[in-house]
Amino acid sequence: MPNLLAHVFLGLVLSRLSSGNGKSMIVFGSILPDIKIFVYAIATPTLGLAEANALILPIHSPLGSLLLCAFFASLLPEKGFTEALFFLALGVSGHYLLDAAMFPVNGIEHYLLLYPLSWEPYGIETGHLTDYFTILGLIVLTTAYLKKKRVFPSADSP
Amino acid sequence: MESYRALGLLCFGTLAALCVHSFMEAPKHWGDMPATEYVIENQSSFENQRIYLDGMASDVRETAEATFFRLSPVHPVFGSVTVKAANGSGVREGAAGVNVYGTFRDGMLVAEEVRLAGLPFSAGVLFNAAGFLVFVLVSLEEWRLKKAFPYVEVRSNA
Repeated sequence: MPNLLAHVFLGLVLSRLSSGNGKSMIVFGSILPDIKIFVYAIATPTLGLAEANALILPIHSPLGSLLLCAFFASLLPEKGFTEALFFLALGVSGHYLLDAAMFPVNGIEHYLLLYPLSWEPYGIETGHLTDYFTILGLIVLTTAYLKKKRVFPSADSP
Repeated sequence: MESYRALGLLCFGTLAALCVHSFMEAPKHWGDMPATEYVIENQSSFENQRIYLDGMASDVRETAEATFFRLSPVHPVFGSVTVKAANGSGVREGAAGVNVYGTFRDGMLVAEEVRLAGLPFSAGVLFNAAGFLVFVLVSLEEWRLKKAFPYVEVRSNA
């Protein structure tokens, strides 16, 4: 499970690679599943560790995150709803890609990709401790970001 | 009410329902899930051992959950945590300035606490705080540009 910095950088790179104007939306989407921490911090003192963990599980699942995306997108004016939903979902996809690539550190709740259909955890698990991969990923993503290379140019770009 | 706002509320309600469902159902599945544990690879020598995460029995799940937040300090360690001390339970000092507090059970070290020596807080918090700061800066930049040029589409890589 990478840290927020890695997620934010992946979001920045995704926003760089795409031609849209929703940089902050994509970055917000990339940290959206981890919003569970706030619920966790509130729920733990009253419910207990395991119960709070059970409560927040759907928030850090692809389906739950998409529902959150739709909720946050609906807070915007109607004109930007579809676009915001797309950008948020793009960021969320990057979040799960990064999470699933790592061996679980904080428990396998992060890898219930098919919840609520299945309680089976899934992950690519490219390595054990995340330290190497987080830092290596940060370096690669930062380099890609700083190179400012647009892979999918917009229609109006030269 | 606009349809997209109703959709957003519906999504939020669905997510809340999923959280309740998870709260009720997850404990029934905890036993099926491998949770977090540190394992010593080679028991014959405790020097230069890599500690990695592996599946664990559900009966020590509480221990792993208690370890959840305290594992954060391990993130800034670039590579393996080296355990120098040997048998028994208690503190093991890591070569990378990491203290591992745990108990050996059937050849496995169940880490109860992993802490960077000399650090009063989790360095993982720094990564997360930095990530959040980057997100705030990105959002502020986009907001500032949109405010300055309200009729110009702000592109992420402009």
